[in-house]
Amino acid sequence: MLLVQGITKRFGQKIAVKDVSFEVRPGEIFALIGPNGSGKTTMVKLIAGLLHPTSGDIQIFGRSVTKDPVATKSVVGYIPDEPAVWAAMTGEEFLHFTGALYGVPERERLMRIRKLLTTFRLAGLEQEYFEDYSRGNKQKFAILAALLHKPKLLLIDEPIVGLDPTSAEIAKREFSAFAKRGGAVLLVTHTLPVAEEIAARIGILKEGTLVAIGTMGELRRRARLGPKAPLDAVYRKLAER
Amino acid sequence: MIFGTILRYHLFRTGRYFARHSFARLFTAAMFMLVFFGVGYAVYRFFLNGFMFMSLDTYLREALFLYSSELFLFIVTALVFVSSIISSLLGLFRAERDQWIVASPRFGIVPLYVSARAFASSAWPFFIIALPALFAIRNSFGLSGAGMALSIAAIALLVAFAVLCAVIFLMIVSYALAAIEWILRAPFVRLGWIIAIGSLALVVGGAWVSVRLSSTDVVELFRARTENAAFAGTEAIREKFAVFPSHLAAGVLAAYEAGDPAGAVVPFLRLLCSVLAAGVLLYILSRWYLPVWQKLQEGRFHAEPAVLRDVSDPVRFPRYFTGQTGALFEKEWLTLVRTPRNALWLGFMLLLWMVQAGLNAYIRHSLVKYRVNLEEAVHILEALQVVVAVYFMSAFILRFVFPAFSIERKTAWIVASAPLDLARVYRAKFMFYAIVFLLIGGGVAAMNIAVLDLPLAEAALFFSLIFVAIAFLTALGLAIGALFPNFETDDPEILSTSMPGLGLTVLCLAYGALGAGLLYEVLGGASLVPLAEFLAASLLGICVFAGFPPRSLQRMEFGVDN
Repeated sequence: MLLVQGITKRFGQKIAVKDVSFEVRPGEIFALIGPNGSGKTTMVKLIAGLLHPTSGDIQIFGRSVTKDPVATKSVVGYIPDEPAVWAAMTGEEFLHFTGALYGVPERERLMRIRKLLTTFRLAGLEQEYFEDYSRGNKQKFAILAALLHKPKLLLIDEPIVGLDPTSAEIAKREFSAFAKRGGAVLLVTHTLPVAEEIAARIGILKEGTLVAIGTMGELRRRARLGPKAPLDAVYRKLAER
Repeated sequence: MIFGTILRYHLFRTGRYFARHSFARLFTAAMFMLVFFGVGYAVYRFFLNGFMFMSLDTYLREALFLYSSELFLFIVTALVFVSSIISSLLGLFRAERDQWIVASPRFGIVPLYVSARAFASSAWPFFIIALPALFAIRNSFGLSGAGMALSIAAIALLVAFAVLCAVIFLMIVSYALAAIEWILRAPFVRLGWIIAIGSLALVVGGAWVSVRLSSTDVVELFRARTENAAFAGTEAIREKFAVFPSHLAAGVLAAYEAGDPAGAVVPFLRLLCSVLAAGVLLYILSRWYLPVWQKLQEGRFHAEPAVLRDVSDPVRFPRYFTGQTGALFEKEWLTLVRTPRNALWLGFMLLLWMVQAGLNAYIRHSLVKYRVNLEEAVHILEALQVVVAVYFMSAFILRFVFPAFSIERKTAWIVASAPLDLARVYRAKFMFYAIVFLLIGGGVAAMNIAVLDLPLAEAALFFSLIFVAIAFLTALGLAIGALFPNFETDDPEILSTSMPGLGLTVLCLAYGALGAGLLYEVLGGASLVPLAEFLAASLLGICVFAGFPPRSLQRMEFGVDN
């Protein structure tokens, strides 16, 4: 579903991402972890089409993100790490706005918005202005906007930051359910327990390079740790050596 | 001490600005200074010609000088007061970046800090208008060095007084709103009604001021009590302006012009005392700043629990159009009208434009009354209106259209990650702003046509030129903004002073001057061909700039630095 092939991204002299390749399959949650400044957010932005790769290619359903951006973006839902939205818009208007951009018919949009608001316990808050929402509620509206058009690939940058424990549980449950329905999820996070809990495979980025990739078991073996070693131990061994 | 920290911070920011990409930024700064001094020099020449003309008329010399000083300083005071209201409104209670000061034990310094910022941002009219005017007075009326220094100090004090009054006014209104919170909670009270009553009071006040200043015939003003005297009297003028604080600064100037330096001391000291009194009042009000700030953070003065709405009556969006373009259109509209800073700025500029257009009625009335060559004068006014329209449109375009892509720095992820071509976003922005500005510009042009009582053919020509100019400048502003996006800041006022912004300003003003010149020639009986070519070239420019977005738009990267 998502195929990243030899992606490099430079900002002037600085190399943010260097020759990174990986794949995310349908029904799979793939987590990308790594220290601050390792290129995780840049990688997600490259896939979402917010940045252009210096070299390499990204394909979604066999279509290139750079050559056919409209088609590839229509099947992707993107949740940024800082979900800034126009302060003068209400949550409901924002959801309708993004739904309209993705071509969701109004009737269908209304039903889906109602359902998603209820699921994420936002019903009753949707007519407040965005500037009045808490950090967590802004994040939740961004998640709703990403799910609204029923994407096939979810790109999530720090999904749990700012969410209260109950909302974090709901979000994790929804992401897992999304994957079970055949969707693919790319999760970028610092919250290692979340990655360990819901991701089928994990990639570790360090200084823009993918230093390790595999299931928890494969990563443990590579780090030469026992079968019950937690991800943070594996991470320390692989990313900080 | 806290002011020292803030000052160091701004100095550090300025230093860092020039440290990175130093050549490009030095070039930008140099161009800025060039435009700044260029405009200042043009203002100086304009005032010099006017003052020279005045100084030659021994009968009217003193009265005319006093009247123009009074009127000029009154306008400057009003402009500074209103712009300080707009800039301080959000700075006092809604500036997120000042929260660290509010969280500190020195929270009471915020109103003073906001006043200092408003004073600094009001400095440009001082340097670009007041200072050249003073030099022109010096070279036409022979203002002495001491007179020049005291006049500069008086104008600076006047600006400080206007800024302090604006901040005090805002604080008193905010404190009053916070104090009557229980009334606002009452079900029959609507904040909209309070705002409407306040706005009505402002309109009534504005009307009173305009009647006081402009309803009197200028000729009668000078002749009223002095028909047999060797010099025109100044009593009527002094009486008319005595209620305004600008009268004190004008008194300083007038005393030096009349060769009576001692007469400048009293008004200057009165002005100084007014500023000190306003400062003391601000200090006293600052003691209650924190509790009011806390209360106003709640948005509508009280928190309320979420209410489950009837789902059978959902919001429709987009409300007026359909599809992607409709959604983009409505988003632009909402962010324009629901952002107080945008709406206030637009309203203020529109008010100024309306006042300027309204003044034409007064000028035309005087021309008819004193049997001046009406046709020639109306032609000059028509051409001037084109320049004025382009000036206001340039201001609107620089504020809204030029930074339309750059200000999306943080929110760009929404549109940039959606399945739509950025060319569509570009065209939607053009269509939106072109329609809004054509409605505004068309309305004011129609008002001008009615006021100047233009014949049908002239009216059609005038209207066509204004319409084409608005569409062309909107397309040009958007194209330059898209070609040179700047994601380092989302402040449109900073973005408009960037190198491309300054370039756009120069292009707009040159375009307006050329269009006005060609119209004036045609009205004077010259061939229509050059103006027709100008209009045709503008239409072609609209098609090119609006129809073919810059290729770099497709390669635009969002969220590089967030």
